[in-house]
Amino acid sequence: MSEATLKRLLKELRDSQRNEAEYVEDLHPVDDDNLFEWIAVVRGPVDTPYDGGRFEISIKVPVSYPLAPPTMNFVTTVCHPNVQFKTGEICLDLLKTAWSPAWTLQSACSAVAMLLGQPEPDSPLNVDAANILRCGDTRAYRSLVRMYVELHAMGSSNDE
Amino acid sequence: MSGAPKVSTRRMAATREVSMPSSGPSTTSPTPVLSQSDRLVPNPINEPPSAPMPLTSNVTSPAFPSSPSNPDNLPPTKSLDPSLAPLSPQLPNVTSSQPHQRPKFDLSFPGASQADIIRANQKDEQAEMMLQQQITQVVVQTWGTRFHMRHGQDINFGASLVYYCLTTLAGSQTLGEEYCDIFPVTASSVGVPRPPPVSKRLALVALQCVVPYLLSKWASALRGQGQLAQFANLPPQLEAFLRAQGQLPPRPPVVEEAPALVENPSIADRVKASYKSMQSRLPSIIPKIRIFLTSYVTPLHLAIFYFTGIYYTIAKRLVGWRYIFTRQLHPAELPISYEPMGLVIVLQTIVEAIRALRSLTTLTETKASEQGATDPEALADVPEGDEIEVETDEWERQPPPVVMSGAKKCTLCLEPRKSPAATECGHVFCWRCISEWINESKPECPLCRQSIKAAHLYPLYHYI
Ligand SMILES: [Zn+2]
Ligand SMILES: [Zn+2]
Repeated sequence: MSEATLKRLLKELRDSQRNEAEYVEDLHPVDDDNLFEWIAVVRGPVDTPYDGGRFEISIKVPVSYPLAPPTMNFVTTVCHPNVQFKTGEICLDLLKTAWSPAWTLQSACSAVAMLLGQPEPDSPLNVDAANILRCGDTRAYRSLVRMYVELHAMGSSNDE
Repeated sequence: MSGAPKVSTRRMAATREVSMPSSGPSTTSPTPVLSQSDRLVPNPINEPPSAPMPLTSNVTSPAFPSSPSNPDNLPPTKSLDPSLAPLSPQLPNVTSSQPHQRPKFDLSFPGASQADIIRANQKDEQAEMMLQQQITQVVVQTWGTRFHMRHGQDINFGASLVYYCLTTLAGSQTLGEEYCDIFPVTASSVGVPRPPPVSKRLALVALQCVVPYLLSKWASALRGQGQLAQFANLPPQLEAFLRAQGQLPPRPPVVEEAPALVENPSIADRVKASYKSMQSRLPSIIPKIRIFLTSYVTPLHLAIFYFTGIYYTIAKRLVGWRYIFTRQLHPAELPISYEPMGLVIVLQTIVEAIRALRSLTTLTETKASEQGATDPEALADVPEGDEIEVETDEWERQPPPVVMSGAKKCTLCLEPRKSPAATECGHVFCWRCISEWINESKPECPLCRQSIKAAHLYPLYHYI
């Protein structure tokens, strides 16, 4: 754990409180004493079946951050070809091989929210959702997604 | 055996511009040949009739410029044809049979063609420039660049002076003239073209070398004075400051002028005063004169050259310095004419002159309208200026764009860059941030993903 990492995370916290990123509703560390675990809430992009939903993401920051990417998982259940249905694991290249320290936690969250609107059925973590999309049955895909959004993403927001 | 070679030599001689009108009694058979060759060889110089080149009377002189009075009728040293020699013994016969009607022998040398004059000039310029460059090199190596910076003009002048003193003034051809095989002759000597005398050579070197140099020196000196005159309008504090800094020469004593004005001015004083006033105005006039010369006089002179084909430079026209060929011209290479180019230049100059005149008149009109500006116009001008001011104020009041504040930040640590380093792709980070990224993660730019190497990071000094 380096001082530079801490400094940068502090800086990111300050910046995220000051400026808002697109689709990112909230971003803060789980615990004030621990800057290596964060929680984020993103909104579903407009004109997608995720519109109106609020999705919680848990973020784990490695000690070598920003040289290594943070690990992100959906806490809220999401039906999406690139999101593992049970664990909430996200398949997004920028969180793995394409990571660059120029990304911040906030911009990465924004990218994850964008991924909701732009599914990549060719590298699926949710094979069922990907198959529906690959068949070209967008209507079925949209209604399936919408159902889960209304079940998990909207109800929970109302509860909280 | 005896007749045939004579005819042939005669014909050759005729083609070498010995035009022989059909006056000779012994030349019955070659006459048609001669007249034909006459047609082949046109009047060699398309010159105004004031300066005729042809050598009409004295046949025995071989008309070679360097040896105008050759007693032995020897063939001229250079390219004049030896076939003239067998012809010359016959000539007395021709003249003796008809003593009152002297035959006209056009033994003239053809005037140098325009193309060759231009080529010689360019060759000379090239040689001059080479000499200048070599001398410059020597000067720079011995006294350094600073010396050359200060005296470059003088050095170039010295080089061209050396070049023309060694060639023209010494009485030999310049390299360009030699290259084109043209010989300088004087225009004034009617009949025999003579090599220019020393006085003319001196005059030419002075006119094309020394005078321009002195004029430019004088102009630059006057320009310096003009700048001083501009300083006269400075606010007094600034002027004092500049003088203290040594940017301005100490103010000349003004006290002397006052009594001179009071007294009755003598003629010398008046002349002095008029010269002074002229001098004060000259710095503003000289550029105009220069523009006038370069945009009207020089092109028009060039056009005249294209029409007449004699004097390529003004200096040579002033001296009367013309060129002849000492070799024989092929009929094919004769009729080169640059008249269309001359015409084009004249047209261009006229158009330019018209445009300049028009802009001058509009300038005076606008000046007049500015001076006679009525109040409403002046009032109309004011809000405009105000608007502009308001705009700039608003722009200044706006917070600086985000890019500006982010520009000095490292995208890796999100802080102001410490000892900045640039990648090959031109992105700038902290040295430590980017080298850590390269060494511990992957060798590519965090911003544009271009592959980079730690060895190819450039530290940026004095860069914030
Ligand atoms: Zn940095
Ligand atoms: Zn780059």
